[in-house]
Amino acid sequence: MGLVSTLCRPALLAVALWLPFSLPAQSLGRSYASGMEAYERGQWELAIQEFEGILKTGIQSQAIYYNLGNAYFRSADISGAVWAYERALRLDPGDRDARHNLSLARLRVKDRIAEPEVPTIINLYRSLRGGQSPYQWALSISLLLALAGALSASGKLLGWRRSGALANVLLLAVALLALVAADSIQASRQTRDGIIYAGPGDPVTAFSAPSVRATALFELHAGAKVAITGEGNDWLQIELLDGRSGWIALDQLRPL
Amino acid sequence: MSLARQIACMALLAGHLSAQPKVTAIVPAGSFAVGESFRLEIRVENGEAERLSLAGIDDFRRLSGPSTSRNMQIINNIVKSHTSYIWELMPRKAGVLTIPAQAVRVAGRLYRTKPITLQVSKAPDLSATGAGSALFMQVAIEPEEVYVGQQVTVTWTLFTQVGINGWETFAEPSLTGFWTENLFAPNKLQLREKVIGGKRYYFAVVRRAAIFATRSGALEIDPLVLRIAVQTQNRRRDPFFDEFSFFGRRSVENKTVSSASRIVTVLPLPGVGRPQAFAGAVGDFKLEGHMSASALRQNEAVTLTLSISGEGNIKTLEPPHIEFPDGMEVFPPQSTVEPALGNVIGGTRTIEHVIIPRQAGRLVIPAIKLPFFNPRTKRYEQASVGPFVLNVESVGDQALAPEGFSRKEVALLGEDIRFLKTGNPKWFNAAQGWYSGGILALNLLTALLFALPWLGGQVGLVNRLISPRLRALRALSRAEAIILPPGGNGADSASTSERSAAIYATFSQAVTVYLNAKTSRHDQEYSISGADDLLKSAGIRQQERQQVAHFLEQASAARFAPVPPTSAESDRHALVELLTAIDEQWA
Repeated sequence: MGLVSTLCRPALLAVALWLPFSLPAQSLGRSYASGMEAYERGQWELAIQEFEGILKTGIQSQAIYYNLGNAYFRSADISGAVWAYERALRLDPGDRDARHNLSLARLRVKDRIAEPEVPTIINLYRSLRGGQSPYQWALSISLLLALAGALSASGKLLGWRRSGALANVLLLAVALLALVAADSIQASRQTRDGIIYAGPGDPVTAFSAPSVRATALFELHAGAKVAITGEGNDWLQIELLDGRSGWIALDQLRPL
Repeated sequence: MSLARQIACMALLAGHLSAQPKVTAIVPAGSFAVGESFRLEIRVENGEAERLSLAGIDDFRRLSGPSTSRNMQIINNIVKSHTSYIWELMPRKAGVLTIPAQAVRVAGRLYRTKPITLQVSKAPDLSATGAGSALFMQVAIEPEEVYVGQQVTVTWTLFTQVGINGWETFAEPSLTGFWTENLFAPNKLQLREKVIGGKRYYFAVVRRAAIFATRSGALEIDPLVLRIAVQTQNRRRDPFFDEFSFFGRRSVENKTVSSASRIVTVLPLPGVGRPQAFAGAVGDFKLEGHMSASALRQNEAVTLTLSISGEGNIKTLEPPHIEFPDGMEVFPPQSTVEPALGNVIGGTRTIEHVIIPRQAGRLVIPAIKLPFFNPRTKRYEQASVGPFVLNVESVGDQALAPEGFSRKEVALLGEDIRFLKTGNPKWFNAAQGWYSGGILALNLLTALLFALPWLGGQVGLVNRLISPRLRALRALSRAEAIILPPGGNGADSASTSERSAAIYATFSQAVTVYLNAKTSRHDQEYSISGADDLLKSAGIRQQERQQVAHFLEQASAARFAPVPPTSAESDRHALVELLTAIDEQWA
């Protein structure tokens, strides 16, 4: 009896942990399939509803953001498309399809904000840093580290000198990559971006202070990407790539 | 050093220091001719020149220089030193020419050379007969009278009766007033035969260029100068070697060969009948064009491609003017040239304009015209294409951003988004951070891997458990690698007896390695009885033990008595099988 209870206890615990996740997983699978079918029938709004419904449960995937972006793009909601593609790229910066579609969506954004010129070396470093999501950085570094560990152990246990040397090289590479990864994670934590939501012909006005009575500084249109630098009383302080700064209402932006 | 010597040295030094600088201009004795180079030397005795440059030598072409050489001599206890500055010059015209006095600054003082007068004769007319010279160069011009912008083909041909070891261009012709493009400039001479004035010559084209006059008048084509290493035969007989040499001794001598300078008569383009839009195109051209679409939506991109082909200086051709209507945004054009092969410069120039109609409706690009002067017909002609009509559909509020696209973005305009991702998505909780359980497990495993040798060393685990077992497991494969090495044991190329000896030599080594690996020993040697005792203690049957003893004895005997290689081959395979059987029992 004692043995049975010892063996059954971990199994019961695993089922108890998996059950709450498995039941909504079935329903979100149905919602996802329904969203995909709606998209293929050209019912963009229905597809958006299904995909957004899944995201509200707190469950996400790179594919759902990408497909949601497509649905928004087809329904001519440029803000939604830019937001969804940006989210998809945050989870997988190497997704070429998402990058292509985002470029097409951005063509429809009316605000052409000139980015300040940066030296090529910094641009190269930024592309390396942004080439992987924090999860991908952690995974690749952990795998390299594990490989270095295996080589080091085999070198010491079996006397394979080359394994030891290779492990040292790998450790050096891991150390350099870890620095880049740490910078990448730090940068993603420090910057909070958002996408401007505005109707056609109804631009968002940025004010000098969090009040409609303050001076109107500039206008932004749907799909423009801005950095969130502060917030307070249903207002957000934003900053553009060209350095301009102002306040907009909270509901005029969807954070990334 | 003796006192007398010291005094002599002091005197020499004093004499040297007290010597006054002297500056002289020197040209070699002999005759001078147009197109023949000579050396001008400015010699500075007892000093060195400061910033020396030749002045007033417009009648001469400077081919090279100055090169500097220093010379010091002690003759009868008198030190003489001089520095020479040497130029290679070539007379531009015949007659009495003067190299004027040259000012040379030495040690802060200004000195002047004496002017030199040269009698320069005309260049020999080599074009007709070769003038009997063994080495000369001809220049051919086709045609000699052209219009501004019309192609002239200039060909320099080298003729020789002597052997040529090597050649290089010594001075390029300065083609002032011409736009030049090389048609042919070989690295190696392609010699052919020709008889001129009853004499047999070898000849090769050394350069062919297409030149286009940029102004009218009598324009000069300067000589091309080559430096050629020619083979010469020594006439002086060597008292020792010439007895054995039927042909005498050969040596190599550097010679400078220059072409004659020539005049091209360049006529101005006629003013009569010149079209207003004429932009200097000379040749014979054809103009074609097409639009990538004739109907499109507002703010979509379309490409207008113009293609100019024909004979003429297509690279410098001014593209035809296009009157784009209002409501079109036009990006800077991109132009590519595909040159035609052959001696006539020409080809196809393609010009692409990316256009974005910002306005809906019917937009018309009027006919595009390219006026040019045709030197064959000696008249102005005109190539034209178009007009082009674009039907632009309005898109209302869905219009793209109105302006400020980069070229890369314009290229994207005609594209569509890529399709859905249809695979099974990898779901995860949005609240979950980037550091997942999987990564944590991987990191713990890594830590364990790194710690394993240390842990093993601490508790003696590795030495006592892991390493011996691993070594025991690999004992058979290590022994097998010694008996039957993958690359052979080097005995294949040896003689029969050496080959057998080499095979048997591996037997005792293989058995020793096997037993050491099995028992976790290092560098332990075994006698036949010692090996037998060890195998016995490991529980190996007597039959296998006896066979091991037999092989070890045979290996020992093979060192002194040769064994046929066929026996050695079969024995080594038998030993592997025996060790395999022992390994199974040992396990």
